Amino acid sequence: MKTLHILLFFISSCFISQLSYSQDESLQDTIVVKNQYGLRAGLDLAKPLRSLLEDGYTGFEIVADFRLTKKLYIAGEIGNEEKDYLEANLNARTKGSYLKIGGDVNVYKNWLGVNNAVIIGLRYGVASFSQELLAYNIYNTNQTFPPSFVVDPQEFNGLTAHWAEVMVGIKAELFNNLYLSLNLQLKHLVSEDRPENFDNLFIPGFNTTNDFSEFGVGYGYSISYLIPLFSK
Amino acid sequence: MFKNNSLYLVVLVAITCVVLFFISGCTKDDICPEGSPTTPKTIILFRDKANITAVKAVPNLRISLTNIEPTELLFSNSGDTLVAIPLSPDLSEIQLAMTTNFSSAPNTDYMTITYSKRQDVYINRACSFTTTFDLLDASRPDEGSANWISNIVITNSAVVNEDVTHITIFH
Repeated sequence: MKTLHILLFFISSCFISQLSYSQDESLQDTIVVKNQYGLRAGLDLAKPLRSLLEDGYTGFEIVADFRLTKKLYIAGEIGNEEKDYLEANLNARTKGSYLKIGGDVNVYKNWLGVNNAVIIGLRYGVASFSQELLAYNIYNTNQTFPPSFVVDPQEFNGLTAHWAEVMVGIKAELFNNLYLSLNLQLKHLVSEDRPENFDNLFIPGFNTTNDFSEFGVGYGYSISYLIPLFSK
Repeated sequence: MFKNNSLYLVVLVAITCVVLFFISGCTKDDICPEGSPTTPKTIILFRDKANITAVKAVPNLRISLTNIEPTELLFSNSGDTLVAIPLSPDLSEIQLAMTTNFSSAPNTDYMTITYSKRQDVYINRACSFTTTFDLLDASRPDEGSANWISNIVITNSAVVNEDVTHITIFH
């Protein structure tokens, strides 16, 4: 019996030494970190907030992206906006929907298991909208007569606009699979249908247009959830 | 609580953006630039009734607008052969009291110009619209030999700019 115990001790010590030896040998790749990925979909937070705070604006936007590789994502936004232009000399209203499709590149190298991102994105945007001219003032440098204000609503339907967009942004994983994103957008109009004897003061998705250039700016602030379709 | 502190960065940048958005004030689009197209005035040219191809200034001319309250003096002692008269987009006629020799022996002819609005033309969001007019008629009551204006002719009925003569007055 005693000899058996001694034998067991020797065998187990052999195993332990063997074990520690093998641990030394395979120091790398013992922990497997699984990255979850799939479709990330969410809602823009800035647009509903602006709808509450700003008179003459309502809008919402759904955002989504899908991972192709560790760095490359297909991304897009779809939304609807209505914006009033109410200045002393010109009143107009724009409403319509838009779709933006493109890709995001994550240029940020995360620590193991962390899923934040710094993204550079490209988008192509298309909007379908209507522009309504409500009332206007007749510009006259001569002050002999009182100003002439014309109230003659005219609606221009079925207008479209196309633009290209570059964006920079960050995405932070707040909780498991829940992301908060912020991005800034620089847009350039490719084409637009101009209403006859009027102009597009606002284009849904493009934002306020500029009379003297084809550029526009925008921002996005969205919360999104990653539906983990894949795990690798 | 949060998975990492990137949140604070996101929130900070977001607040900055919102602040920038609300304090962003005047842009170029807010001011109608000088030299932008404006609603044109009607151009009146004075010619010699004896020699209809020659321009002739009216001595001591005074022009008043009499169909608005109070009567507005437009020109006094204009030695020019051309005068520019404003038209109101809200009216369809104006009446002008045209007085010659107002300092010595004043003689006033009342001219009525009737017109219609032709088209409102969009300029840009700062200037909004301008308008143009169609002249329909320009005349003065016949007072025989008391009239200093012998004839009024509409040379160009479309008042779309101030580069051409719209009405020619022979005297």
